[in-house]
Amino acid sequence: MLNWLRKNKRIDHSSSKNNTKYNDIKRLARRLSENERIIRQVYAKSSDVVIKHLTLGKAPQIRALLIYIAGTADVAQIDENVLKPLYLLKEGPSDLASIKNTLSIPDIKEIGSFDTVYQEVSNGHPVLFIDRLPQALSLGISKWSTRQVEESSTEFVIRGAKEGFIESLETNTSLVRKRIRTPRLKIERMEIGRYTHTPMIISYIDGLCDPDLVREIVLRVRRISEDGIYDSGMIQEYIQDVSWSPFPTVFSTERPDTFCGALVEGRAGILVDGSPHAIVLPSTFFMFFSSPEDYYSGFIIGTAIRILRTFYMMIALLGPSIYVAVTTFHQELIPTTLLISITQAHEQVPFPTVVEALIMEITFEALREAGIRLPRAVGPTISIVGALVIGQAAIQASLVSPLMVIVVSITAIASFMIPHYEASNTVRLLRFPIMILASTFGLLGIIFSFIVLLIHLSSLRSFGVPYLEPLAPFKKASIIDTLVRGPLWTMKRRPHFTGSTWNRRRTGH
Amino acid sequence: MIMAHKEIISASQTYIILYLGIVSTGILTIPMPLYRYAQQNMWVSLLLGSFIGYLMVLLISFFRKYFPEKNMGEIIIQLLGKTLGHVSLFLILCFFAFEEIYILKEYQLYISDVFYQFTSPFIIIGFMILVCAYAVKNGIEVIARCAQLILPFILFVCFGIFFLLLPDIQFQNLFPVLEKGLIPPLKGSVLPMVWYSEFFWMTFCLGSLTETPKKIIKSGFLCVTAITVTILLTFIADLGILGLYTGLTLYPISLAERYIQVGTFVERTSAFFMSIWVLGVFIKLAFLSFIIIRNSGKLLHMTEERLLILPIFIICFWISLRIFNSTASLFQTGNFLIVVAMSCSNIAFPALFFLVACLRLKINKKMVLKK
Repeated sequence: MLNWLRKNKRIDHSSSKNNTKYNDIKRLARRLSENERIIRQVYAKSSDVVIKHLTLGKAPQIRALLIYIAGTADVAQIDENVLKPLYLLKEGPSDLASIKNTLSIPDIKEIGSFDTVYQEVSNGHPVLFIDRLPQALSLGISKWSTRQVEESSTEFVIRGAKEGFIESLETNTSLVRKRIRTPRLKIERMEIGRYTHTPMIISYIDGLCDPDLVREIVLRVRRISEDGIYDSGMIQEYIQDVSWSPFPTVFSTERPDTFCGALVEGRAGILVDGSPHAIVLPSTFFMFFSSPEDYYSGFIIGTAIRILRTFYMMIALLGPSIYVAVTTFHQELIPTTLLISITQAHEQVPFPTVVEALIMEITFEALREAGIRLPRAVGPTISIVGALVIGQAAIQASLVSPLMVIVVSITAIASFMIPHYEASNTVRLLRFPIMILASTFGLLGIIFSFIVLLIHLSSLRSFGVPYLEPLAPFKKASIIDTLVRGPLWTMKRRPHFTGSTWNRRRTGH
Repeated sequence: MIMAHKEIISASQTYIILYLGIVSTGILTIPMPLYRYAQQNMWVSLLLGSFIGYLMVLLISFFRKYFPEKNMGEIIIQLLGKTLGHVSLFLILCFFAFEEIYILKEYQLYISDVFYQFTSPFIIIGFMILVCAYAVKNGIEVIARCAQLILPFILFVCFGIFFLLLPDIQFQNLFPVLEKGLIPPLKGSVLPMVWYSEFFWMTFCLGSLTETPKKIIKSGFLCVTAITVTILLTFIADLGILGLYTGLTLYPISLAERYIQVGTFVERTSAFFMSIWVLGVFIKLAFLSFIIIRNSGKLLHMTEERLLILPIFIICFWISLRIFNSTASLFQTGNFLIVVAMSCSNIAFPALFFLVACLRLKINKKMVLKK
């Protein structure tokens, strides 16, 4: 029993005595051989670590050591800018300054302890040890394999920039810098993940963003104690105000222009290395239902599209439920001729309407989920089968009525009109409980689920800002940019964040 | 994570809550009994009754001015002393609880009579109690925000019904004006007066307001006028379409609204309007139960008022399943009782507090200032 308990207890190996060598804060030794011994011990069984001996100078020969991880450091640059100048040295260098002058690399750091050595090597920076010097040099010539900047794969626009964030943090920050060319743009760097040491940045515009907001973000990020962070989604889950909500309270985007737009509005952003999805804070409900294109395509079209989108969002949420409620409880609402054709079509079907609706919706959800994970090669096969099964064959087999197929397909299209994928997932998920309530209590059930949603949405906050702002609480200045999209020149004020936690000391405008 | 902060709502948000509350039950249950008093002059009664609304707004700003940052519950105890204050607060809360049960019953009987004959009251009331409990748990800020979101829907219902009925309204039904003098409408004005006196509820969240008394008066008058206009339009619709039948049907607006027909497409829309109307009732009930729970917490000196949500709602639920089991009993006995209860809790008590406050202010001007 005791053994079993012990087995299940999670032991944190990082703090055990055996592993202290990885967190060695000891200062570097003067003797090169001593340093080499310790480093070889640490990097034992790491075949990709390159440890290279060098001999500098001719008259007094001085030994040196270069350490890097193959594949992370730029070998061509090492060759050109490090090894070549060092071999050309006439006499062995006596101090670090002379070596620094010799190497033609702008980013050189002096480091003095072992743990920083490991950190720099892990970051892809080659580290140069010189005999008889208790310091080492970290050379900032890392080169990681990344893909090119491509079009974002989830947020498409017709008009507007096609660039999307990629997995490399440096490229992403450069994309942001490219759009906001002011020294006021601050990019604070942090590292999270106990083992992954994932770099991430908190970005904001000094003077627009509330300092308390940044402080709160840093505080919440610091509190994360996860072994590894691989995507901004993991940070998102840790830092959001309310975890128990189907609604996303943290906005994520793949588009640099959306990200920069949010920064200029006074929000703060988080970028994580290895993740093409940036986080924007605080996020409000309407951010999830607007597309950057709304702002690029003229306010009349933008407004029309937003109204259309709101309408279809309601359909995505309530469409099948209203159909079920009306056909089972309130037939009088349907025009007579339509009612007759609905009843006729339903006569062949052996199930109650709600069962029909649930069958269709769940099948559709399965197709959608399978569609994402499909290997490219089998994609067309599945889509043909899907279309046949949930369309033609289901009707011919009298499993569902044709009208239900229409309702479900309209709902499916509607749910993809929501620009943000996570928000559309939420809407799709909420559809099911509402459908069941509608089938048991008719319109009353729908209205009560609507009330519950309203209460829940009004109670949500994202970093202190009410989620439904500027609609509730009502803010006259920014209402122009919610369900409608007013002309750009009418949006004179930045969104006013009323979170009482920080809004009081709002600096600069 | 986020610091606990004081709940802050604006005066206009509170007025929206009151607007929704008064309008949603007002358009449904005032016309029938009022027609019996004032016949086609029921709109005169409404105008007369609306004066109490303006008075109430003045009273709210009075309490706001002389007792800043304080809720009515605290003001009562400060004015009347510990024992008397607690007793009168308890009495008011009892009246409020009765009003809450009455409104629940009103809503349930309307739904059961007109739409869901076969659904048990247990479900219909139970649903409402559940959502109210959820709203109260989240506090007044959330209720106020919900009210803001619901406002357009209710406006749509009220004005939508009126404008869709406009072609059918026969305006000659509104005449003759005051054929029997001013006495019948005066008698009838008690009924709208009771509805307008609900403005007193607002004093129980004075502490969360941020506006100056002047602004409270301004938006308050606007709110009273808006309520009058909205209810007036439905009165016109009732009278113009049903005429004499306004006094003979339980829910005149529900009957009148069946005349709506736009083409052959929009017709028989009662169920649709009913479901939106429920939103308004929800706001009214949530606000009232919030007041009851918040102040019972004060009465019992509890720091965590949320513990009271469950017991108080269970009691309300149980009683509302027991009393007024038919629409007839609700309109016969209930109507009389609710008028008495409302005029006690919302008119007599406030008047008393006002007098005491005036006296105290006169005797010792410094007392209030010190506190």
